[in-house]
Amino acid sequence: MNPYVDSAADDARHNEAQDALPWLANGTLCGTELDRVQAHVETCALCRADLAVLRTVHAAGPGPDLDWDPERALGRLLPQLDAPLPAQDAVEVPAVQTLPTPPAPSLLQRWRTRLAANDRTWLRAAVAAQFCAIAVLAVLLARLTAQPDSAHDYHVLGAAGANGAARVVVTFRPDTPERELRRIVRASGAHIVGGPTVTDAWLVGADGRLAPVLARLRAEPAVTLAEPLSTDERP
Amino acid sequence: MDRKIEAQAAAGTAENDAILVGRVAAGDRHAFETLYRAYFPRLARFLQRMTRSVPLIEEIVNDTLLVVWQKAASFDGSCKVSTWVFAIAYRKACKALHALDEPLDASADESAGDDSGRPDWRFEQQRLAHAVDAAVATLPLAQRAAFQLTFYHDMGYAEIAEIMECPVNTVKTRLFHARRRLAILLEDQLEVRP
Repeated sequence: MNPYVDSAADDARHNEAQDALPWLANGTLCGTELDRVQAHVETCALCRADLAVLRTVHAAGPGPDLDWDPERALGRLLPQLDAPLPAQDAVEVPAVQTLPTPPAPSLLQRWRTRLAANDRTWLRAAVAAQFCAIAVLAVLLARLTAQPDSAHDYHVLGAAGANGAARVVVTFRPDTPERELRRIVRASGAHIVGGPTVTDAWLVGADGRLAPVLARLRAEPAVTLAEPLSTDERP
Repeated sequence: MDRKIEAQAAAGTAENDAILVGRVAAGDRHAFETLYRAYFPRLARFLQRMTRSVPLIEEIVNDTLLVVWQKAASFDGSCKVSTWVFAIAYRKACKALHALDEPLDASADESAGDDSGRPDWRFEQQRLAHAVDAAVATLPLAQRAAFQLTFYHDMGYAEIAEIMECPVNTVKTRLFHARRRLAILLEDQLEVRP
């Protein structure tokens, strides 16, 4: 048997008993804890002495009562029974109570309650506000659709509108002078209707069949690309 | 039947306390008055070790039992009525005495002379009670409350922990320190008696 283990166990039992002595003295200790503590106290002179002192204190009881008067105090309380509970009392009531319903909550509490997700009044108001916002946005969207601002519309190269006459997109070598560029277009039987675009492409219109125009454009060394805008006109 | 319950409630029967609280929740003023008279002395004795001011004691008791009247419907029976009521009283007292939580002068001995005509054993009990009262009055509020609930209200540590809203080990530690301090203060008064 290890004497150190025994010593440690004895210390643990002694400490447990010392902690529990007040409740052994007042008779509320019970179960296995009572058995353990009683067993230790029987073998420990120090715990027995402490227990005797605590029992003396317990037996002496409290000193005499002051001259408080229950009936006098009750007489003051009865008129208050119908008064609403002050808001601060909601905080003071211990956790053993549930569902406190203070009749006169503070401003902060009222707002906290309103912002709670399960507050019907708040949810109704939120849904109504959402509905109004959606309706306003829908009206604005409808008006914008009905009055398109053509100046800001985006058009692809092949789209109808301002470039409706364009049939071919042409790009030139970057070092091609504008004069040479115009000559090439004219010589191909076409005419410039737009450009240059952000990619330095030119939109070219042409009358009649497109194939000869494309052939002439592609034959020019300065032309790097000549393609019909419409798929119908692709060779 | 009602009178029997009220008599038992006055004697502090937990089961009948719960029945009374149920009736209070339904707005029964008579049940409330019965509960009030049963709890007033217990709460006042608990509080008079925290303050010697009688008006303040009565005010704290009234505040406590007013909460019981207003919140009886929310009492869910998860603990004893006495635990619930004492917990309210403890919180009310802590709030009221927060600014006054200074060790009180031991004024209890002032009335010791009144007991001079009593038998010796009774006088000795009174003398010891006065001495303990005076010593307890010097303890910090939390130690004082734990001491009283243990020795004057015969509560277990689990119930005290619930009232004071702290872990059980905290209650044990508070009482351990209270005992050490009282042992020093009452060194000449407290001796093991046959």
